[in-house]
Amino acid sequence: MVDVLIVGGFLGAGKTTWLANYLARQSQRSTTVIVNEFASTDVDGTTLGDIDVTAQLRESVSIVGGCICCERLDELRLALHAVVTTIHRLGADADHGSGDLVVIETTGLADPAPLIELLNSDRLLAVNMVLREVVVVVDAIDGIRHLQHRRLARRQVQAAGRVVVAKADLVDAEQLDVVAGTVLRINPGVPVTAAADGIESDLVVTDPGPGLLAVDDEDRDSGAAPAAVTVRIDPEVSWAEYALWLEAVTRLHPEKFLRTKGTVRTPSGPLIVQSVGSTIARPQHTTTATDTTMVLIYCGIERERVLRSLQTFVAGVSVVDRVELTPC
Amino acid sequence: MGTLVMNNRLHKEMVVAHPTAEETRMCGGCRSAEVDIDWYSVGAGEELGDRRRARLDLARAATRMFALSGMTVTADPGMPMLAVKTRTGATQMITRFNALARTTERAGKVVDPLSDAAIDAVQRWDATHG
Repeated sequence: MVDVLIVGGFLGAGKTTWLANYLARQSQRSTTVIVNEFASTDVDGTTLGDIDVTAQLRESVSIVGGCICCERLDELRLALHAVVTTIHRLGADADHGSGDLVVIETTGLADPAPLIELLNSDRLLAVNMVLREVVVVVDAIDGIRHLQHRRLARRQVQAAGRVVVAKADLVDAEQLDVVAGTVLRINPGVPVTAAADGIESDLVVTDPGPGLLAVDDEDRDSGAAPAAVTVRIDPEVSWAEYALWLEAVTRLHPEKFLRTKGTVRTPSGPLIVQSVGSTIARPQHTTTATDTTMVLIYCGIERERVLRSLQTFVAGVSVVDRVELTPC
Repeated sequence: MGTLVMNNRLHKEMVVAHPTAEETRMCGGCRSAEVDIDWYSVGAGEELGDRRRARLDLARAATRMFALSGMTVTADPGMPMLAVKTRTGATQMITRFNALARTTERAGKVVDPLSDAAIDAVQRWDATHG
């Protein structure tokens, strides 16, 4: 049987960072990673590619341009079938170490439930794969806000077999207690751990308390359905112009600009630049990015307004593609 | 950030972008912590000349972005900081990228890049300045 690990969590929670560290510890296992991106550009694949985990990877599969819990579910099914076929073809002679592992990293907008259903209902998968764990990553900084305002974020936690509170080093113990308390209120008894820069450790909860869960969903009406646009940023674009625009729109509209991620060329080289809500992560230099594209995931705002603003404030931006999604 | 005395210390602080305790503050709306790092400087380059060019680029881009408010941002090549000036001449010196937005907020001159007025103002600025 092939072990399956599903990694979920809301946009920008820290799934890829956690996964990179997880994969680095799987040196004895033959691992296939399936990365899903809402937009058409595989930024997470680039991020994983920058981290030295490829030696353990049998294969990395990217499913882009939609969410594998709904519109790309069939692509996931085919990808998993292909993994089973490959393993059967390799047969018993292959050195599988301590067994084969398939890791599915979902988009931040995916509900893990349909994936679990797929593994149980598809006959080929049901007899060849076993779901070992659903790990859901919750952002220690913004996680409470997502859990309060996003039904999807709560559904993700409800489906979790383990919850990892990421960016734990950026908040104090009291905040960690509140996050843990809120998670336990949604999914009582679920194991909760902490992660700092992707490195996981036990979470010592001094007093989980009741958590915070005064729900006020922002994603209850269809007008707030997330959409994504992928833009190509000319290599000659002004880093200052892009930085100022991103700083301003995420600062003034954190509830609309859910997530941005991609690669920008700067005077110090290509950088992976990511934001979630109002938080802009420290950019990381990359050696594997071949394209300078940026994915913007937004809601509650017209696409034309986003593009008009971006293309006015940052000269040298062109649209690659657009994706709209009904809420999962 | 306190007053900076030595240029090399400032240089280091604009390159290294680790949040300090005083730079971690709470969001008034959702009570979630917000981490304040000078992430612009990561793309600026390491050499002194790179930093100077980055400051000049930032000053020009900020003046363009703030066209609607009439604020101007200048960078003296000999000074490792930016001067943010309102229409009336009130000037504030800043050392970090993140301080730009806070300075405009304090001056009541926030520019929303999604607003038609701000977009139109930048287009007019481009037509004038090329």
